[in-house]
Amino acid sequence: MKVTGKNSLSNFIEICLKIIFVIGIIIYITLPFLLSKYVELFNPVLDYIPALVILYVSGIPALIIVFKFIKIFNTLKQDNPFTMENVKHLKVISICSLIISIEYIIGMFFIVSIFEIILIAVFIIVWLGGYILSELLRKAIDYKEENELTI
Amino acid sequence: MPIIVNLDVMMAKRKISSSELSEKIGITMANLSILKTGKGKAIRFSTLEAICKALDCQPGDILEYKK
Repeated sequence: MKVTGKNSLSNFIEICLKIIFVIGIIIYITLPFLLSKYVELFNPVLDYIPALVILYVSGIPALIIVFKFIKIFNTLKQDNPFTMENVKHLKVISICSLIISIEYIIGMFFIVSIFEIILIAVFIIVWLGGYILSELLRKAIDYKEENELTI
Repeated sequence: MPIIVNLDVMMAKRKISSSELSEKIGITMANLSILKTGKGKAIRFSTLEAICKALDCQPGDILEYKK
């Protein structure tokens, strides 16, 4: 199976990410309604207002992360992932992950649950991984440029 | 860059065109123009050898070091 280019795995993932992005925006807009239903039906002990604030604040960086991933996979589709734009996208992704993890650490003071701890761990890993990957990509671009300009 | 590529001077002396030279040494016109305009970062020995062979000259005739 092809990994990059047209009709490939990265193309498929890009479509999935676009669907996730649209669903994410819909959930973000209808969040107060959805959360009140959730509290009513599944989890009556949950504090409504702190949960709403935490989800609203973490929603924006999460959507930015998905949007940046769409852009990265778009360059993979065009078979040209070694651009400085992608370095910037990965930097933004790592910063957004850091914001989300800090926000959930603050959120621990208001709502304590096992899911929060998992989320914090995941986003700290994404923060470090994204930062390292962006530096790796920058090095790769340097090498590619050097190789292209050796005649 | 203190290293200057004097390829166009040598080409004028030998009265050879860019397209002719690129065909002789087996590189594309785009790469040859990178070399001529001094944008190139490095040159392979094999390319240098082919240029010297095609222009019948020494590497010193093409490359120059300026302080």
